[in-house]
Amino acid sequence: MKNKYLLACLLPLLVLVAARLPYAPDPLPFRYPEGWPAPVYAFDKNPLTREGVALGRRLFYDPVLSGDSSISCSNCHLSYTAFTHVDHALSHGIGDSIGLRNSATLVNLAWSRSFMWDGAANHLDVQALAPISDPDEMGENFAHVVKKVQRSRAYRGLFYQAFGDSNATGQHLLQALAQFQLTFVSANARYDRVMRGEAGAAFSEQEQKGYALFRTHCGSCHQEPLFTSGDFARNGLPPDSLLKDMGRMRITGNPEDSLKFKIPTLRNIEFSYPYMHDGRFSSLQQVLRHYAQRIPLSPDERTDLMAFLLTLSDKEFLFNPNLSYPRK
Amino acid sequence: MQSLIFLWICRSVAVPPAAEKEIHIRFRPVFQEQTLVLGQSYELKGQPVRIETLRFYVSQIALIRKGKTVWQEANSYHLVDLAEDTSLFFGLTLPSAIKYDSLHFTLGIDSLTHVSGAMGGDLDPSKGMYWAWQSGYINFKLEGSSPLSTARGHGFQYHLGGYMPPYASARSISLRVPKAEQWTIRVNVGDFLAHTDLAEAHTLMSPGARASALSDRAAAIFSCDEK
Repeated sequence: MKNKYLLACLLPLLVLVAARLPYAPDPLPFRYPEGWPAPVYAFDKNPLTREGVALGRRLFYDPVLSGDSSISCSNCHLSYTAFTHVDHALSHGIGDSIGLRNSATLVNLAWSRSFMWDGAANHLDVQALAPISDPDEMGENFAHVVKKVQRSRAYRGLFYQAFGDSNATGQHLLQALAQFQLTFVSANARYDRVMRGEAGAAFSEQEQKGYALFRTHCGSCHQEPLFTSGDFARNGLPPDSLLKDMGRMRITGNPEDSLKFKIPTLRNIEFSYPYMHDGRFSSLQQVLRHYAQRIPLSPDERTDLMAFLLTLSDKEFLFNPNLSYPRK
Repeated sequence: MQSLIFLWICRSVAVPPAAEKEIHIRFRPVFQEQTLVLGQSYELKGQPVRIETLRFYVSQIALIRKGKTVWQEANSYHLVDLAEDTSLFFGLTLPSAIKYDSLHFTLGIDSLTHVSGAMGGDLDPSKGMYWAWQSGYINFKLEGSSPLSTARGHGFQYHLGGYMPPYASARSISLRVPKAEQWTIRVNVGDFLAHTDLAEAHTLMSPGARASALSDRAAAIFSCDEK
């Protein structure tokens, strides 16, 4: 009886204490392999924290970001397929609308200097504004997204824990999304283990030959260890007569940038089909046949190259439970 | 050396600790000689014209004396929005001894801020002054309608922005200011439209040569009464 009385007295006190939990986010060090270049992302302006990443993860998987609350970021960026939209040449958004391009893979973004196939976004933080606002993607007004999130009681607590302000702002929402995406680090493919000289990790003879071919013919654009130089290039694809996509020129207005697209990473390429900015190739064989028009590669060499490309699959990354849908 | 010490002592005794004073800047949007009110009709080239939106960024505020910068506002970013009375008016806290003859500011946002990720406060991308499809702030936004416009619904929309050379569209503005404690800066939207052909150019929402040229025009509509 006495205990119950005590509890009744303490309960409101506990609630009060809980409501005034200090804002003390847990810093999360950004880890990447030795020998890799330094990340480009300015972590000092948006330091990774456990709470920030958790909030970003929740937002990434929340359809509240779309106009009719039907799709989330993960609809076109699925963790199990290297964060891209497989099986669809052009990614589709709300109301069955079809976009202009194949969704990009999201991996090792801390090293990216620009985002999207045409480099339309100059910073990871502001990249999310493009798909949120595009009528063929999430079809929503960003100010309205912020309002919807502000109305959610659950988000109030999460924003407070992450940023010390329970009222969501556009800045914090974007920074949280960036924090989660920065954790998409793929550096544990068999290729990586071979490069690190780990015990038991080795290329087969065919993969080794493929690696040599890769370094000769592909490595200047698909630079190791990120497998992209981050630049824009014209790779000889004729423009699609319906899409009339001019690529990088759409952003710079410079005719020299016509038909140039961002060089994509080849990491997890086995899982990120279909290929090219408009998803016109459904298999890697088709991709290699396209390049064989300009690069002398015999059918045997193409097979060797393919064997090497498959060593870039990072199952640990693809099936990382910390990156998938946040189950409570 | 001794005279220096003497001077230092004189200074510390004679000059009281630097006090501060407040100067107020008030933006006064006008249509030629009339105060601009959203939704109200004005006359442009013999036709009616209405303004629905006027918003712009004022940043990097500084005070100049004889061509030299004598004071700069810290974290100087202001979104001025005719629909928000409180945004038209703000104070600057200055050292009271400061002398100046001109006010300097940027109409728009500098390129470094443009490439530094998601910002807060007036720079928050949810303020409706950030392009989504391509990274970049809208420096100056003017929307309205007039029969002079050949667009659907006779509307016109000028979203001026772009930070990449050669079409960077933020503009530096220098205005001589009075010795008063309040400076009123006129923003003559009528002047902007008087020099714009609404039949030919009624919609602009991307960076480029046109945005750059119209930004020159937008910068020219700011003036300060020296009285």
